[in-house]
Amino acid sequence: MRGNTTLRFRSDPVIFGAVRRLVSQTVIVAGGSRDDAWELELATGEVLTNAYQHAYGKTPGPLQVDLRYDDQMVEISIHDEGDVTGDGPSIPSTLADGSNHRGLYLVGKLTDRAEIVHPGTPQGGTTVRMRKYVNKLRWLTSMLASSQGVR
Amino acid sequence: MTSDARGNGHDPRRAVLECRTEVVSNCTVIHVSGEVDLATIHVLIGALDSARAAPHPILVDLAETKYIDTTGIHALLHARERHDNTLAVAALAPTLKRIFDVLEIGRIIPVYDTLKAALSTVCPPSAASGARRP
Repeated sequence: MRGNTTLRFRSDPVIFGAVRRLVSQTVIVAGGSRDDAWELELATGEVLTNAYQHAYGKTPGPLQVDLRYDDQMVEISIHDEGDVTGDGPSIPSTLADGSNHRGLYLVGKLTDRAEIVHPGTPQGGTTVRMRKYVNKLRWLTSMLASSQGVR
Repeated sequence: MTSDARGNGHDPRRAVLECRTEVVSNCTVIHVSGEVDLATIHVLIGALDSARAAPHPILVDLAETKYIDTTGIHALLHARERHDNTLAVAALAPTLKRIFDVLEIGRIIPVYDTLKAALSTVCPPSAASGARRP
């Protein structure tokens, strides 16, 4: 079982709720638990909020969400075309005081893999890519078999 | 006395957030029902701003809160800082508790397992009206 979906929309906080609920449902379809679904939904919400506030300065701008899944993992990539200052943000590994990085710190903690890519596309912008293994036992078995050359 | 604020306005697309405020003992209690995110945060901020006008500790009841992101958490932190650090939260669902734990919010905002426990600690009936905690 596998699938993928691409959504293109203008950044609007009202739409964000629908997008994160779609992510949550996708995790369930892929075989994840309700906790998995909740965690990826929240991580998605944080990234969308970040794009709205920082990439576009709280104004509408184009966003693209690529969602793909199989029976082991759900991966979501969120692209914006906004400005990036300096080296751009990264996923913090520690919880710093102050409010600026709590959202991205949470993203790192709620997913199995998260990275921020600058520029996100040849045209610029930022891509945040997150992955969550929704069936960790199956994934570990697959990785072990692969490392031992088992077909 | 109670007051209501809703975040759906006339737009049926919006996820509803309702904040109902009442004064219990010597506390202003805000019951937050629904989803706190960027689309509804103004409702929570409005309720917190109104509560800050009274010289009571603020207790935020999250028992009916289905979703809260860092937008909502920052609003709580901001309100507590501006209200002499007399704001606490209560009755978090396990999912919300997980977020508060990951972000170590309990080091800044007192978190109570139940509203009853929060009321008995933060706003005991015997406390003098209008008193603020240090």
